Amino acid sequence: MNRRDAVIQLAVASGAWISLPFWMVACRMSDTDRHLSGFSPHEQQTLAAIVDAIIPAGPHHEPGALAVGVDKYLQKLIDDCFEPAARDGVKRQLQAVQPAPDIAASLQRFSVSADKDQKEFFDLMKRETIRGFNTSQQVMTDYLHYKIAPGHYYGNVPVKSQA
Amino acid sequence: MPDHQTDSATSRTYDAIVIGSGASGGWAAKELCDKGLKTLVLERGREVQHIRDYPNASKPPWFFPHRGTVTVEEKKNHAQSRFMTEETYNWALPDDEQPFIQEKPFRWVRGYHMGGKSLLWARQTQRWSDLDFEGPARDGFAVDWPIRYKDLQTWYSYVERFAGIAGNRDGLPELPDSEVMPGFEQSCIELHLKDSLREHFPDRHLIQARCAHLTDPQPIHVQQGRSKCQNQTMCNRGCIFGAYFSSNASTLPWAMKTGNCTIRPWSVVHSVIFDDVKGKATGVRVIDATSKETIEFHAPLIFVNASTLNTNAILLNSKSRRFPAGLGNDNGLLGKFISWHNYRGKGGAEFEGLTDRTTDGRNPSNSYIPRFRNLFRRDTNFLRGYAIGIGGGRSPWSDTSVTGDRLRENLLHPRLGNWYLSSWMMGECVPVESNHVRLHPALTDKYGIPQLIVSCDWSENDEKMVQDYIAQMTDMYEKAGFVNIHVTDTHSPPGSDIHEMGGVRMGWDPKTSLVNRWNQLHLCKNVFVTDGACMTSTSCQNPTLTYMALTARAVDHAVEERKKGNI
Repeated sequence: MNRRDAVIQLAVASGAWISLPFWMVACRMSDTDRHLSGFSPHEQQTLAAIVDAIIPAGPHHEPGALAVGVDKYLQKLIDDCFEPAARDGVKRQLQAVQPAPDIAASLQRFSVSADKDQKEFFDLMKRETIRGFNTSQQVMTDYLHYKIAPGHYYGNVPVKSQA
Repeated sequence: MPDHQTDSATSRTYDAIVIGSGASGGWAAKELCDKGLKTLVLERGREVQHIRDYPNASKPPWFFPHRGTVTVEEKKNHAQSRFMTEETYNWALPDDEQPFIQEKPFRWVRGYHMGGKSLLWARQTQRWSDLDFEGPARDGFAVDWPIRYKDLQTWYSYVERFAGIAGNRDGLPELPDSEVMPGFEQSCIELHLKDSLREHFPDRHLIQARCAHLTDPQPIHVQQGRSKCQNQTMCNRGCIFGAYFSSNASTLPWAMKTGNCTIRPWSVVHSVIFDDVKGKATGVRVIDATSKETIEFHAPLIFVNASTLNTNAILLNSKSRRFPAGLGNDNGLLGKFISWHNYRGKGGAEFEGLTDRTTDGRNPSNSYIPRFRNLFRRDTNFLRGYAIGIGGGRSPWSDTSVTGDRLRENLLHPRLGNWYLSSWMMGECVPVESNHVRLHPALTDKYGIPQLIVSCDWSENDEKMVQDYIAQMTDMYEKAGFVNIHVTDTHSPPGSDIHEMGGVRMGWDPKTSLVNRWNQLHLCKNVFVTDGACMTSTSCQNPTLTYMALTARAVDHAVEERKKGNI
């Protein structure tokens, strides 16, 4: 894709982006947001639907994959770190997967598919969605007690003191 | 009329030149500058200022847009590189910087930037004992070390006090005590294995490894601008606290503060210049990495600390009428008896008890079992032995076999898994003549410097040692009640340990060694080799501390010899 197309798509994507609920926008951050996506708006929507199905938000404000920007991370990862053939393979599967009416069912079929490409696509989506989710700021700080500089190491503490 | 040529040569003349700015080069620079010598440090790579040039230090995972993966663009020209993660890519060496020929598979890990591998090392600092120095003489390989522990003992203490070592006083004859500040704690799973060893293998000691981290900074460390370790465990991105020892945090800024030090980055050393008339080395020939021009720097004293294999390459390429086969190489042994450490064996196991205990914070070091094989006498069917690194803890664990709401809940509320305990062997490779490096007769790199051929392979002794580690480690896990035990031979190629040594070995006799007991080339006394290239044998301790001690000792000797007019 040339640069002009990328800019056009960014503009289109931005239009969609503004319409997201405020809490979702507020959580998005850093370089990942300013990335010129190599994905079409339709592909971006499908990708968002996939990560949302793999890790949906919870009923009590627990973050899901979308809330912590996993779809944007996936776009950046695939655009920048995948060889063109692998990237095209992902896009083929994004076209093949049926977001409506029930993406979860569609993904379920992929997860047990005899088609090697479909199975690999599902495994990739799941693996990277989990990685993006588990390495997000919200999940690491609010749930996993991550500290950038713990300042100590204790070799023997009761399990309860962890929480 | 001004004599531009003389002025230019004078401006390129120093009291001493140090080739390389890694752990040993940094120490050479500090010691020379402290003793008042105007010193030029040549670094072939870029400048790396402490803190300023650690772009990824202290960044949490979410700051990395690809969460650790390098891009397609970054992978280009980096097929052979290490440090290929988003967090450490700034240290990865492009393939075309220094191509080399692997006559047999060899992993050559280089740190071509200011500070070298002192920014990237595992920071483990175990002393040698006479059980190590006397190895070649006792077991009949290589040549006798011309030094013993007593020659290095005070120098170990000297460099340890400045670098700052965390650990305990363990009182073991095979691993003499260091000058220490408090060690990091051992986890209860490590202590569990320790207790089991005490019962089943009383000659095997599981101790906290000694490492170059500040746990209780002393005034000498505060003077260096360094502070206490914050347990970030992202050391190889550079440490903004200067909590672990590196040239960048410690010796180089110290040398600069004396006013005697000049560090010249982008200076790829071509060769040491030998003056056939004067009968000594007079300087160093450099290719400027940016302009590609050849520049000569002069000094009556030269320290070669370019890292083992590159030190060999430089000396082999230092050809003169007197030394057509490389500097000091009358006996033809330069580049031979290259050795390294055998890190092929790796193990892991789980423990199902101690379920109400866990760890908190992060441990930048690990536990350590000093060598127990063939220690006081030969008691196996192979020569020498191995130390074992031990590290363990409990990882949070989530069931990811599901998707949707259950997956989210599992990820947000992980459970603690079983205790696990990893182990890795660190074996002594016995140097043999056939393991060597030499210069390719025709191929050169982009600087016009001959490419290095590396021809190193495992020996039968190494194979036997791996098998012994697998059997012994499995037994130790089993006797301590571990489950899911897997101890295997990774078959990693030589060099994977990043502890390549030898080629310019130390010895009594100029016929069978290259440097004397003071690290001076036997045949060119104003050139000192104090990096891994000087090592006669490898023992199994992480070697950097010994290079640092040898370097400080060698500088002291060099300066005394200069005063006496001997060099």
